Amino acid sequence: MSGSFESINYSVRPNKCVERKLIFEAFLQLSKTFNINSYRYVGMGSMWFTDFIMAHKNLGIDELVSFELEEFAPRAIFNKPYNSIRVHGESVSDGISSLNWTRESIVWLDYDSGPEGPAFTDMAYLSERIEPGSFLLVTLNAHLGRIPDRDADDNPLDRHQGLSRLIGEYAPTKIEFRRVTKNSYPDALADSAIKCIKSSFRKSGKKGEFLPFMNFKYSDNAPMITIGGIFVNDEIINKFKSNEYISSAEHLTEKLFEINVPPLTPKERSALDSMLPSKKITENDFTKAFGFSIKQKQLDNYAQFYKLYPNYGEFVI
Amino acid sequence: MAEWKAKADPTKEFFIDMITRDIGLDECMFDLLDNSIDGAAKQSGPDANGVVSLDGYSADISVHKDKFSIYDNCGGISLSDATEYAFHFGRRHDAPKDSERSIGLYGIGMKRAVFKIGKKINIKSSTKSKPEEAFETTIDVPEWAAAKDWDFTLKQLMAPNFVGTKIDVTELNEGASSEFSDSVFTNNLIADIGRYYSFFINDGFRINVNGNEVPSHIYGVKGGGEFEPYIDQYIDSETGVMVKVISGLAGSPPDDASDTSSTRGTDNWGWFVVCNNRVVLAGNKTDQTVWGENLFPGWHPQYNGFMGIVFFSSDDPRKLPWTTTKRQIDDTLPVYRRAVIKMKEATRPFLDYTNQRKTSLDAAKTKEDGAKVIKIDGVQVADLKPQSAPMKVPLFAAKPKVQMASIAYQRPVSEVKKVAEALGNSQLSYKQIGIETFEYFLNNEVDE
Repeated sequence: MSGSFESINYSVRPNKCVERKLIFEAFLQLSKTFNINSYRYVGMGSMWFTDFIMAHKNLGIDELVSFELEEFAPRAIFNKPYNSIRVHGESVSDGISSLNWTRESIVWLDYDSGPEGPAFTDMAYLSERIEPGSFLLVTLNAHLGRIPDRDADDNPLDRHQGLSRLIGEYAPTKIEFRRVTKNSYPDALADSAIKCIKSSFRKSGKKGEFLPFMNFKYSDNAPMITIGGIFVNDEIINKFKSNEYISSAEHLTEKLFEINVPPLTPKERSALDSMLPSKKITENDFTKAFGFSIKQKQLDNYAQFYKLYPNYGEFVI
Repeated sequence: MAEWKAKADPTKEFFIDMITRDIGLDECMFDLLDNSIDGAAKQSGPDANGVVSLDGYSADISVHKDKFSIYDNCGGISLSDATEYAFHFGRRHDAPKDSERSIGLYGIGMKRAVFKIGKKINIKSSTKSKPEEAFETTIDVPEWAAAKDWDFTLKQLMAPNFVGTKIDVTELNEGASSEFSDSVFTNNLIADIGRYYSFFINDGFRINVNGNEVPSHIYGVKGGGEFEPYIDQYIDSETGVMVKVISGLAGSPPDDASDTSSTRGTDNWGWFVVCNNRVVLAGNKTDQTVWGENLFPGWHPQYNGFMGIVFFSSDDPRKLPWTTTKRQIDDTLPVYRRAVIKMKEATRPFLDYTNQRKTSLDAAKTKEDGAKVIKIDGVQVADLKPQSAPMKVPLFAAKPKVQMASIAYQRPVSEVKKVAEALGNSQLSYKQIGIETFEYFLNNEVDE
């Protein structure tokens, strides 16, 4: 089995990069109402640990736990950037059962796989154990090709049936999503993941609920979604709602928010930056000024997130 | 000799606890729906051919974290019924008959349901013929429980602008509020209503849940080509209950019943028991019907694709084999025991078929795909004449015997899944993966 880290360095995907910055910005703002620096960060750091570096540097979190498959664990241990990162050489499901969940945590289960993988089992298992006060984020692949189109006997399955085979009662119903298409699938999958977390937490008999406030869709190559939220009880919900940044940020909602910044050359980027900030750069304005076009949606998205757009360069160490 | 009296009056708390304990929240909804449907059937009445249409009647259910309601347009409760019977705990012997083939019978449904759901209950009802007798009652459950009096006060409702019954429940009990906030609960509720009330929906009754119309589950067995369903209709001579048994092939049996996936998504297979068109048992695979009952074979995933449905219909619902929750049957009743014998007859040919189709799988599948699904309608008095037909299934000539070997070995699941993907179907059963990889080797590496 090869690790996805062998084919890509996570830090060079511009949309993923913007998403990561948005997420850590949100937690930084949450530090005003929660003692985020005393939380534990639990994630899947791969060999790059990009999110762990941000959790440690930006949020001041010292207790960091990364799950890595046993066969890759030695390489991950070699690559871990800080002494306090503990690499658990086990699957996420094994890792979840070995951690103490009374500890307040920020958990980011950042999968490359979709509903066909272990994600739903893992998040259901975790949601049964986690306590109010903790945050959970889940990233999933939302490519339609991952939905089986035939059953074991080669009988055809429609997409609703295919999803239902993978994730049972959390699959979208025909009332919720009449059709599962390229456009509706990321939304449907995010909805399924939220249902799974909410329902599993509820069934565990704990007081409170899961309150989602992040729902991102982005695509650097494969379409991906990230949903995230906080487990609250009566006391924590008031604390959470008092955070002004969270309640006012347009991109932090339960509804799907698309991150769609265009890949740009450095020259294009400087040219665009020189027009910003601005209320609106229209496709026409842009085409007139530069002689080629970029989709309106992408222009708008860039205008919204240009400060978070990554810089790339080659350097010799 | 001295004599004392021991107090035996039930406290109301005990009473509420007792009547609500054994019922699920979904069953509460069903109890309320049963009342609505009885009301609609009573209003509509049978036409000249004895057929009851429920066209134009509906019930709107709304379930939320902090509020539950069900509004229907099914005639409403008359003031005299309300003061004398509807709020009485348990059905009074002198209660008038609801309708032909009623599905309400114990006179406990509405109270039990609303007590289970919440603490503040408001019921409004209005009839077409006597709008001046429209009434409203508000029950504060803790207050009622603390009071000595068991009666409820009904207030006149001035100038009602509806005909039917409106029930609102607020201050929900913790369990109900928690379930109602979960969209998985609502989705399951919609699916279950579609399944349990299919025959009423087909007769024109409309049910909405949170604004979504519930689609009716279609019951059907295959016919035409070499398949014909088993049918037996008769009148049970001792009770006068009308019984109709239908069974047959409804979907494809699995190629490999040992595969774990063949135990999932099997809700549609097995026996369905229906009383006065209300589905009571759905997809049953236990000895409550035929499976493993008195030396009959137990259910096995190999029988996926089988559907049997037995209808019991009577003007006197007490003669039917159901229990108060209407989610269980009383399998000791003789009328039911007699039907089980027919049900076994209606199952056996299918079991034999799943065994013999294994020898000619491809031919069997072609024939199965070629047959059409015939929709099964609910039982109407008009069409119930004694009738019977045996199940027909294709026969396959035994193939010349070739000596066979079985191969069994273990490989890591992750590797097997990759092979399945490389073979083009991630859902292939392990057995199928084994066969296909063996055949690949045979065709490419072995001299002919």
